[in-house]
Amino acid sequence: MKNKKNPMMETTSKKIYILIPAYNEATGIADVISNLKNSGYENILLVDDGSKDDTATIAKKAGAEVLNLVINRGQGAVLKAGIEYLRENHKPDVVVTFDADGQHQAKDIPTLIKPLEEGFDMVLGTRFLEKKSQAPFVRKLILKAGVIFTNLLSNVKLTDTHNGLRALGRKAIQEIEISHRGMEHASDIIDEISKKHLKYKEVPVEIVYTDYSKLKGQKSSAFIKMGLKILIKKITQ
Amino acid sequence: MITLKLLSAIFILFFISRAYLRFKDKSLNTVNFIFWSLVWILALAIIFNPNLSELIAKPIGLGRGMDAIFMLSIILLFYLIFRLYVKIDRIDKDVTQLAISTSKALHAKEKNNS
Repeated sequence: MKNKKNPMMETTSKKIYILIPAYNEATGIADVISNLKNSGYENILLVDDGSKDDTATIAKKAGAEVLNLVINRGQGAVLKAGIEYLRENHKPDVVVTFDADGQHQAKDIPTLIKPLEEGFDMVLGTRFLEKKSQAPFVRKLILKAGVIFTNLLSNVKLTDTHNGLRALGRKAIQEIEISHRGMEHASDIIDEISKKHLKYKEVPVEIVYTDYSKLKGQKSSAFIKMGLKILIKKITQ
Repeated sequence: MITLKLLSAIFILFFISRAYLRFKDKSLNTVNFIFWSLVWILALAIIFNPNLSELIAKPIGLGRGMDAIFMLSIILLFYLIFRLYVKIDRIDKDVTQLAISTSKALHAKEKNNS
């Protein structure tokens, strides 16, 4: 892997892939990809969730490999497609899931990858261990409620259950199965950590809330719908 | 009153015939066919002999036969909604997997062509 700028990557021979799920992100996707490239991450897979705009074309021009989902199925389906595709075609050592709306910072990736070298199977970013992120009050409240709800339903104790910045090691790449196709996939991942006995760790990351990312992010009401779906799934399983 | 009873009986016979046709073309399994036939035969029997509903009411601790019918109907409706939910969920998952497989195949084809 080519890298001159990232000190973390100079010390690792691991094959790292950045997986970006995207839906109608034409406005900011070129910047996100070029920031990653400038930080030394050459292997970028963008899975386009049937966008109506030019997300896929722009991402391809910016240098990412693009897998186009034929119809819009939601972020869970996109991550499932991306992990399956990487597993079958590129056999990476590490997959980092990274949002397309510019909320995540490439500088946090080495922090996420480091615990994998220490034997962890999965590393999850959190905005609540350190005060790096300035989440809007209502969003913070909902996220905290989500944490309590998810922790109650699973055996995994986390401080931030809906943070899309994660690093998966080989075992996690091979074993994690996402079953929800929407945003509820976050709870699937936590369930899988518990079910597959994956060794996990949380590390503080910075989430940058811009007007664009707030516009693109989930609406607060969507969290209630998500909670209901998770609950129904738990009952029907 | 007899017209209403006859109309209900025609509907029920129609439902039984639908169940039989679905059983015959193997889209309904034996257990489901027996279950639905029993439900409709019971409904038919209660329409022509309302006193039968008292037989159901007493064992479940209800005084009136009609109350028992309403209660059982609600339970049955909940059960059917649950089954529909499970079925829709399964179809939804199949559609997602189909979309993923198609996308991967198209991507591989595109890569081979370039």
